Amino acid sequence: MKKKEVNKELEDIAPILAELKARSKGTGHNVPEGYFENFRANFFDKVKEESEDIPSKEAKLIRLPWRSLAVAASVAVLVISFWASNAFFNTDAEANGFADLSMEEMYNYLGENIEDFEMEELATIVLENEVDDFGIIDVDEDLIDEEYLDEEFLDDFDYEDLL
Amino acid sequence: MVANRMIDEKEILQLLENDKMLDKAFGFILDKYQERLYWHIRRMVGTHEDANDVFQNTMIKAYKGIQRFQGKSTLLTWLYRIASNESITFINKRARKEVVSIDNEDLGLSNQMKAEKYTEEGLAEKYLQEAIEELPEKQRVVFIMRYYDEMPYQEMEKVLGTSVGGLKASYHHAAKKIEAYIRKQF
Repeated sequence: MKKKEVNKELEDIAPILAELKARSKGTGHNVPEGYFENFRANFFDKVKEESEDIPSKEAKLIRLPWRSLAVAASVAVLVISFWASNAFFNTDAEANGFADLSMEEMYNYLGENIEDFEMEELATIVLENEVDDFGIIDVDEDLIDEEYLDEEFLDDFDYEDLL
Repeated sequence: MVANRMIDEKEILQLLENDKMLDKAFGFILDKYQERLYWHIRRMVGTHEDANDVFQNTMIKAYKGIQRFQGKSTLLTWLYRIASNESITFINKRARKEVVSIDNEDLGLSNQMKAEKYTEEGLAEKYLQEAIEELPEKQRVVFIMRYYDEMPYQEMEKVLGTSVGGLKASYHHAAKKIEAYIRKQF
């Protein structure tokens, strides 16, 4: 029934393709003899091998430094306020060159140099053992695989893209 | 013999509830679905060598994630989803490599297929494969699932998260393009 429906649909859309499908005796490809039996037989050894390759130490997770970001934002607001009030009220501001700075410029500067204000704070959050010698943060592979459990994980197959 | 019957998904899921039965349950999954999944991947990526790599990655990822499978879809749908995603990831990586190594004739499905000899019937199949390779990746997945796997649109909807209408439109466009390509060759 299912096959009939698929074939009928194809006949209506693409008759040559439908004929080709009807005449097709198989996949048109081969696999090495005994491939599936061997795959099945070796699969669990392969999995075991892979598990042994993974360092035994507990996988480390990235913990987004939300707390530190919140602190950073608060510090930034305080610094900007302090800076702005100084620029506005301090008669020495002009001498310091602050008077020429607009709020937007100050925000931009802080945005670009925020790490200068937060190095210490961030250093306490991103613990040394979360980053390897090359500065790469190790992520728990199981978490990556989690995406496959999400029903919507292939949501990028949206209608427009398929057309 | 009861021992040789194909175990159903419900029984596999029941086995998976017991951690000690993981390998046994996954063995049943391989028995039941490995060929179907392999051919799905093979049609997506083309050669056996590539399909073998992608198939292996797919099954390893499935094995690692299977105990967290919540049964919101069928097991097969979930496995198809992993296989499709792994295949697309592979195709994209291969495409990027082809751009970098444009002169490397070993890369690309149609280039690899040129090395094979074809009978007259095989030639039509070759053109079909070439045409499939030309499709945008998402149309390719939809076409393969419908044309080869004869998957109902409702099931494809669960795998790809795309509406039935969208899938039908996509299949229609893909089939038309392939038909036009094959016509041009003869």
